[in-house]
Amino acid sequence: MDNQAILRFEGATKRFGDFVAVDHVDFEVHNKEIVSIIGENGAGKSTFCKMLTGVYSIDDGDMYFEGKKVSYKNTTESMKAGISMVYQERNLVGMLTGAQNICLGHEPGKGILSEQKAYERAVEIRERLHLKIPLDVPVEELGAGEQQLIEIMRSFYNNPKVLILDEPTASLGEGEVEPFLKFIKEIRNEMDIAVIFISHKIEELFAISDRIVVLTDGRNTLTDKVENLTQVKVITAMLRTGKSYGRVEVVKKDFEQLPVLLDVDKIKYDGREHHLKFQIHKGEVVGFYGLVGSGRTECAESLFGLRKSEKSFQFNGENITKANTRDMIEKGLIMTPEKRSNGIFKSLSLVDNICNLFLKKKLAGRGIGIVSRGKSREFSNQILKDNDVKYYSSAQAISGLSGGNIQKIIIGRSIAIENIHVLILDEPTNGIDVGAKFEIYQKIRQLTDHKEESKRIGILFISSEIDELLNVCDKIYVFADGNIIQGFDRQEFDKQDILSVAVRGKRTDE
Amino acid sequence: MSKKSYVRKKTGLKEQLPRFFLLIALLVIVTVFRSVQPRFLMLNNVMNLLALSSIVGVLALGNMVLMSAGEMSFSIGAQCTLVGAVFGKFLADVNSNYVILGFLAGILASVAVGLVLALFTIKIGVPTFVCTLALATVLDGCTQLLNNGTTLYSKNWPDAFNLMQLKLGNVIPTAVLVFFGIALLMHILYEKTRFGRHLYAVGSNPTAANNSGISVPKMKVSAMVLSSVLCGFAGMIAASYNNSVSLTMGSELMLPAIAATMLSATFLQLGKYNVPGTVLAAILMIVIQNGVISAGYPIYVKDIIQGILLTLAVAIIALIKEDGLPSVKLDS
Repeated sequence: MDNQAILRFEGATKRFGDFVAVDHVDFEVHNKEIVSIIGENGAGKSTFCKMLTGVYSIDDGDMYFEGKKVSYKNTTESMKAGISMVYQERNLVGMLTGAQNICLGHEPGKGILSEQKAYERAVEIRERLHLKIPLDVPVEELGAGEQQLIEIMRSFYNNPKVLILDEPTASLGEGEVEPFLKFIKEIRNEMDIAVIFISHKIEELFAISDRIVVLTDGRNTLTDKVENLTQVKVITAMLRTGKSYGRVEVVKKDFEQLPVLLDVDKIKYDGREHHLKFQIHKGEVVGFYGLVGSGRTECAESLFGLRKSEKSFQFNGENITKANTRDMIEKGLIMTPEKRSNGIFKSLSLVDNICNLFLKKKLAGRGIGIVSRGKSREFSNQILKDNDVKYYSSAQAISGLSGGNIQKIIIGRSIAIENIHVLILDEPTNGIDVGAKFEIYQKIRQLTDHKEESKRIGILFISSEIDELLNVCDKIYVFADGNIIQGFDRQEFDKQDILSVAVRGKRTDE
Repeated sequence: MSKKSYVRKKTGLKEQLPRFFLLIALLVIVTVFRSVQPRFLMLNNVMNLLALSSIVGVLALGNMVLMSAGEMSFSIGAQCTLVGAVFGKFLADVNSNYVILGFLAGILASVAVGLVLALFTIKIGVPTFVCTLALATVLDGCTQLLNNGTTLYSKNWPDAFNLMQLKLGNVIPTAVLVFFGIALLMHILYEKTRFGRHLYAVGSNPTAANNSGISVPKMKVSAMVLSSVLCGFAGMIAASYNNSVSLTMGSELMLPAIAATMLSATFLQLGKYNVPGTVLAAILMIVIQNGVISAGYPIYVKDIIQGILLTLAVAIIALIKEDGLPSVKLDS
């Protein structure tokens, strides 16, 4: 590896407002080398690669391609130069054939297209890559694995010198991953190409990489050849975070003695059975940790009745098999959505946003259902006050508030529901500042450690930030591939253990 | 991976059958009308049917251009009438023997309308569906202004004004030839050129199109202009064939035209708007209308049959195509 790097980036930096997504990263990749980038969700992996292809502009730093300083304005430019990226999301036009998709944007032929030439070009690429995929059927008739390969073939249209694969195995089935990795290695061996491989599955990385780069909070915390590394070393580097949170106080309880509010075992949704053995007790904060796509939200949604599922679980002593969200709210379970914007009516006032949950019973009285304005305002003001929301008028549109204050309103109105037993919070601290995050942690503990035991509730806290779960939760369950694979009690919390379980996708003792 | 066999979906007879739904529907309906009214299939009537289909057909092709690019318009009818009126009014006022001048004026007007629509939707960002509702009202008002609030007819029109009525070899009306000519060109455009390919790509997966270096806004602007020109064509064919421009000429045709476009996506290749399907469906729409009249049923029966067909077509698509169509996205 003493030849010159084909692609080199010195001090790559990208800011979104005040947030530094990529922070002075030095990076290089050589011909015939597979470099992997690993990091937690939001560590800056995809952002960094999108800087390479010109999707994002470079705020700071110098990029050199084949020894020359470059910067690309868009993907067309980078593609022309020889940097191809296969994106995480599917990027095919379903009704076009494989050959037509491969040539999309640069179809051969002047005026009238030459299907024959396009097909020949596609076959040529197919042969170079030693693949056997039909190129004359609409791609929507192919499976996920084949579609993935068509995308890779497409990225070979311009003979790329650098190929970037963003989580290429995420959409593949179990049997498809290994042959795929083998295929990438073959390309590397046979062609003059450098591969940048993004993933957060650690075992894949060790199977495929020549070198591993770890990003944590946008910074490069480790770069080394794979033979010098162990999984533990990599995970340790992933944990080196600069974030600091105020610790919240947690009241110790003996959950064995406390009533079980939610008791789940297996639920069937999205066409298969999921193993979800967990319980939530009164006064307990249960955390769901896992990487993006590990199935935490889907689990919560099927409990709340948002996702079609065949289920049977105990909620507050009642066996629930069929329930829509309205039933679940009436029974005392409510969920706040992952995207805050899905929890509010942007253009409506604070009062309307708070009261929409309570129009049926509390505010409309019996009669014909006319909502009392006075009661609504009074009720809203109480909730705003109880939850320390900063606002200037309860009649202002909710979109004028900060993310933290909106989240306080969403949580505040949820817990104001009569007979609330369990609150599900899906990524409640996403995109809000550290101070506001801490207030939310405190609120969560207040609700579960309430002085009057009867007022305590159970909380399910879904998060991709392991530190906040360690801070707040009584128990953490780790998700991978749609199932709960391990649970940790607070006394056995260990950041490294939990992260290892999540990135390995199986139990540590297996 | 290379040794694996590839699983292809949707190959059974049950899946194939819907592809011919349109053809089957046409045959069934023709047979029914034939048995009620034996003269239904006589050459004269067939030619008359085709000539009427040419107006709704060209309008449907204009609509198809928009829908395949992922936009939905409610102003195609108003665009059609307005351009018909511009064509008629121009030739009435100028008192020229050259129909071509009126034709050019009509094309100019339709390009202008297309650009205005593109300005508001693509440049400013108004949703097309809302913008075209407003535009339709404005255009209808303009037509009234041109027509003095009534059906436009002029003695000053040159003889060649009713070119579309002339029959080639005393059999085939010019309108039919123009219709099939336009359809053939559109078919080539869609299936054989880069432009057509990119239109499909932009409508069905804008992200993919963008990542392939296709400019989505540019394609949409072109689609709007082309669509507007085709709607204008339909208006001018109608003016020439009817020898008049009525105020509701286009708006009456809007729903059948949209229905024809939707139905085309059930023909041959499911979930893809296509020219042969649109042509066939436009003919079907007129067959229903004409059949209902010639069999002596009240005219509103055609609305019921056309409506049922459209509903069935969309239902078939929803059942088979999980993610819907460009401009008719479905949430499962």
